Amino acid sequence: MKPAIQTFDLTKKYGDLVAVDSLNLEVQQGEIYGFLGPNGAGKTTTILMLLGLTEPTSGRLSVLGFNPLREPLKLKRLVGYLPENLGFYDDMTARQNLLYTARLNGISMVDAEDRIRKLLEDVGLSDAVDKKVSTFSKGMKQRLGMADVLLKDPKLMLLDEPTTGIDPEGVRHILNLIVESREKGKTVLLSSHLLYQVQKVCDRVGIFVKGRLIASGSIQHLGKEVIAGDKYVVEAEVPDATPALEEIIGRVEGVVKVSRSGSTLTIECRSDIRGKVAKAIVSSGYTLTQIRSHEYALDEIYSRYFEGESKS
Amino acid sequence: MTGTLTVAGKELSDYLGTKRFWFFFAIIYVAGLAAAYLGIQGLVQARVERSFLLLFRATTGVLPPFLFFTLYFGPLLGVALGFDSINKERAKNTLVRLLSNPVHRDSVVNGKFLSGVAIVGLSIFGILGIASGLAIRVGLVPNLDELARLVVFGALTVLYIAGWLALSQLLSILFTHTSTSAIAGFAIWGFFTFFWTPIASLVAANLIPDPSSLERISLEQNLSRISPSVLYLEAVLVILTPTARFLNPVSLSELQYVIPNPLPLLQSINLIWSHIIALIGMVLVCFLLSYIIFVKQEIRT
Ligand SMILES: Nc1ncnc2c1ncn2[C@@H]1O[C@H](COP(=O)(O)OP(=O)(O)OP(=O)(O)O)[C@@H](O)[C@H]1O
Ligand SMILES: [Mg+2]
Repeated sequence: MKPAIQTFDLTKKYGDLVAVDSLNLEVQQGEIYGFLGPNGAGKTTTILMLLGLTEPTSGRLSVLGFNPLREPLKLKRLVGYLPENLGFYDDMTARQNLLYTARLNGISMVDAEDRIRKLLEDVGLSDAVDKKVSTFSKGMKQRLGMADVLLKDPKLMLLDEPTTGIDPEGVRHILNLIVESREKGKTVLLSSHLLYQVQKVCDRVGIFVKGRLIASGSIQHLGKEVIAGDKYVVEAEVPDATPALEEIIGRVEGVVKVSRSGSTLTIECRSDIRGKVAKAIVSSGYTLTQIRSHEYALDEIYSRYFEGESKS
Repeated sequence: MTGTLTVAGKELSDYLGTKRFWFFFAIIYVAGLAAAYLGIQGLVQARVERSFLLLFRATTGVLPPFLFFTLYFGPLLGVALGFDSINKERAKNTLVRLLSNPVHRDSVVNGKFLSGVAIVGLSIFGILGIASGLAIRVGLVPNLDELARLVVFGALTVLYIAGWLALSQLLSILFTHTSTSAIAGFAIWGFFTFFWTPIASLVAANLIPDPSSLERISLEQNLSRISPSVLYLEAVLVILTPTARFLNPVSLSELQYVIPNPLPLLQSINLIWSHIIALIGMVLVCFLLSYIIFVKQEIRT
């Protein structure tokens, strides 16, 4: 299967500033890909280029098999875009705004009315269908934006910070909608600063710094690469842990390093030796309540990247 | 084309849905009808000739009230309809979302223009209709030729205002702030309606000092025709005056005393072909520039 998005040395310059620097990105069909990175890193610029709304300075790109600059209309029929600064027509109601989108996409009015009602329900706006958007809160507009994207039933969704300003319940709704979209075979590219949410839904993430994509892959993959190197990290819960236990575990073959905070022991080893570690703990008379391999948290990975950045 | 119509339909219902618009519309109607009423008054006083068309060019002062209205307020209508058409969407962040849908950028420009022209047409022909009603009530019943001339007059007026609409749309693409494009639009309007004719005669006088020379007069005339209002005024005077046989700098009051031997409408139109072409050309130039600039523009804010 051809990738949904492919870029080759894609570059965008604004005068002297290189907003996106030789980006080589590949997003597979049916996956959720997350863009991370500090403000001004080039995430929005990249998304705008993917849609043909901003012209690249150099490089090539293919989105759903189309060149966004050559065949913009064909592409825009298949792509739903949620802009970072989302705007609606204030004097029109939520429904009227969506009807306009439907018309622009050639959706028949009968279909549109039904779909709009259902979508507004999905994003939790069924009470505000006929309210003017000027009366909407930021989060309500954001939800309406999500409905606007889903209305065209796109093959690819480009979501620039889809959950900013939305309350936790709404976030759950939106993330569900995103995951459901993947189940329907859609591809999603989203940018966000909310690492926990990205971790929850994204199959792979890419980290942008100053226009460059410095890492790309699944969270487990990045975690191993950045934090552990070739080490394997095990966590054990021992309520009655003592410094003596740390020494005992340290003597187990294959263990590199042991550290403890309260009842949690973090054990770095050369391979997965959870069995041996558990045996050592139990046979020394301690209570082992849990042992697991460490799940990398995205915020941990993310901050490691920037530690590295500031050192070098 | 469907994109253009979709945008036009949305803009039209936008116009019709706002109080600001109806307020504006009411003012135009009142002003237009007042002008027509003054025209009738002038007609009753002048008693030179009883003709339907005279209603629109009868004058008690320098300019016939009705032409004064279309000449000066028409452009204001055009500028008011167009000055914020693109930059408002930019400021409200709706432009980027709009253009992420399958619609060409020129369809957006065209659609907005089309809806503006529809509003202009509605205003102008509505006023002309009501004014004609008034005229018929005072016993000025138009014949077929006069009716046709009235329609051509209306069409020329719409074309003239459409030119200002196209210009103000161009300004709304050029300037990101709606206040800037509004000021620029009104400044250009003021320049051409009030200052251009004196400037043209000044330039002509400097180039050809002999005040009685025919070349100077024709140079002055041609220079002044750079202004769309001059083109418009000359053209509609010919249409509204069946007896006018040439375009020359005779003053308006003299026009009424040209030996009457009315021309058929088509010959009158023939007389002003180049004017019509020039007015259309102005619209097209504004459009061309709009397309070229808009297509290349960054739309992110
Ligand atoms: N129109 C413009 N003219 C000049 N520079 C621009 C323009 N738009 C963006 N930039 C610059 O391009 C760089 C990338 O901006 P971009 O909006 O892509 O960042 P981002 O990763 O989306 O940031 P954020 O997380 O704040 O949304 C920034 O340094 C920004 O200053
Ligand atoms: Mg951004």
